[in-house]
Amino acid sequence: MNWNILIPELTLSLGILLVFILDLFASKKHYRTLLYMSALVPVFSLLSLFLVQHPAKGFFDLFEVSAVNLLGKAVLYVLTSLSLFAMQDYYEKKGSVYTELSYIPLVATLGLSLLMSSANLVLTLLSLELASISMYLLVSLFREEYLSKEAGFKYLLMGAVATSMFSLGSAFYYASTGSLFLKEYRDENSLFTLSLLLILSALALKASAVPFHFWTPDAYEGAPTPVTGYLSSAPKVALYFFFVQLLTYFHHLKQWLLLLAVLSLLSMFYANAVAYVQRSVKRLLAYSTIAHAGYFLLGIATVESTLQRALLFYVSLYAFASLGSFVIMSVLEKKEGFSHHLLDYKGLYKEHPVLASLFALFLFAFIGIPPMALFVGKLGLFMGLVETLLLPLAFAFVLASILSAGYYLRVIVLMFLEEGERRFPPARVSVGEALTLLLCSFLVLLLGVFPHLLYDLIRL
Amino acid sequence: MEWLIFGFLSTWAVLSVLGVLFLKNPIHALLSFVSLILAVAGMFLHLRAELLAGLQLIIYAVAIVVFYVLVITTIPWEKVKRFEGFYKREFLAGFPILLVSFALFAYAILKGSFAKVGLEVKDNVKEVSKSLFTTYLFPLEVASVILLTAMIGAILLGRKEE
Repeated sequence: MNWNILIPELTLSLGILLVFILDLFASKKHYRTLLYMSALVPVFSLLSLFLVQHPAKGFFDLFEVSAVNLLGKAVLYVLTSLSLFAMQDYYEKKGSVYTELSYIPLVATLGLSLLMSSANLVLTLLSLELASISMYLLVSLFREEYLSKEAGFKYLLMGAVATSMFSLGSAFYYASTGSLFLKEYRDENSLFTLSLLLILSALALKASAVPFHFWTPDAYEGAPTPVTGYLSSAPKVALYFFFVQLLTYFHHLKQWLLLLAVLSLLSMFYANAVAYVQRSVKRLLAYSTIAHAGYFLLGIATVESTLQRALLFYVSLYAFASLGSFVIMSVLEKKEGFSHHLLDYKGLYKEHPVLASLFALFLFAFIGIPPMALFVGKLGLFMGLVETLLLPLAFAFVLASILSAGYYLRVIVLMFLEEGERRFPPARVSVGEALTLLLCSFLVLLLGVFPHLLYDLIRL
Repeated sequence: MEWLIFGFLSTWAVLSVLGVLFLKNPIHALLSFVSLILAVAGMFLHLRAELLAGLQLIIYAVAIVVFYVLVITTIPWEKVKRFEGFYKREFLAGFPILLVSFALFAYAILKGSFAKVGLEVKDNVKEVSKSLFTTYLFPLEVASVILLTAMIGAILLGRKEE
């Protein structure tokens, strides 16, 4: 067997074990060292990706690597490393230091990384579970915050529903195809369609598409803000890279397009409408994530390589923008008495010109204003939809994007054009947060101007 | 004859699930959960999966139920929110969806064709362990990581904050 296909995951696991063992002996004052160590682990995994020979299969064909999912893993590792760097100061200022928190995000990343390579429903279920359980923990570990416990519990319950749907779907998959391996199955069989429906529902719940979105706003609001940044970036990237692989096995079913069109239309319009009535910016961005899930699901409506390449480009850059915006919010939250109410953002530009400008940059990126990379993703997705003659979906996509501009612009207007009423003590940006913000904004701008740097790497 | 046994076992299982959902006393709900496990173990036996039936009894009926009993005894019941009445509005909204999805599932299963899987298995233990330690060895390892993470999480969430 070819062991080098597993090198990135092995590096990650070794790193987790190392931090885990050090954590047993280290006291609380070494929290910073531990966290920075574990933030470096994904960097090593990233480097080890170059050692992997691809395309290859291993472990009785359960695990496969290809150029695309290696790229997905690279994006995932960068995101994990950045979100770990951004966590340190927030937890210290909030007085909620759990040294265990330094490796739990790595466990989630391990799960997501296995998910991207899985070619068998058993491995898919287990890797998804590994990632989810670590994420429930990340959401609920916040000292003396009732909201975070509630959010964690809600996420756990909803996640359990997804798990049961997924396992029932796998059972029907086995009943209809006689195997748990993902493969092409071309017979007309209602049992197979049922399994597809269940598996797709479970994955849609993880991707927070309407009508499976109920956990999203609460979990995002209750979770510690850097964790929200992680939740809104890393799992999305892994899921959509996995979706693109799943597409090759399922796309020929005539129900596939219908199901995805319903899911994405509901997500886009429902979330964009509900986002307007939100008073908390954190919740508003949670609804923006749901709307984006709608846009992304359009990218896997049918098989067309331009469409899927645009989707993967879009979702990778969206993850960086999303992580960046939540990190800015976590910097602001370190101020005494700062809630994420819209009014607290009034006149932010006067107090923190750099932070406000960066936040505006990310919000403009979400709208899809040209120099930002998300515009290229949106344009690619639109072109792909037009090419595959899914014109109604393409126009719905444009309409929803225009609709969404309003609530992003309102936050920008509040930050730049209005006077602040409440005074807060100034917030300091820590080194880790600065690094994350700089890299995220740099990537969003750089790949907007030179999109081919990433686009050429996505070979389907 | 087979249908008779299956009918009996499945009615038993459905009734016990309803018991788990609707009984107010936690101990009664727990007992009804045990009865569900027995019914499912019966189904496994009826499908000639003795190993699964045995594991179901050992793992669920013994180990997990004991844990549930432990949890129930440690919960400070005087602080727990009491039953607040039946959620009528939610039930009325959800029930049609339940019916429709049940009909949809039943239709899809009855109309679907089942794959023929391999030959008659003689020795359950041998076959299960063979696939567990060859094809599914890697997922087995992943499962151990899941258990470890869940354990760490349970300790973290359950311990007293200093």
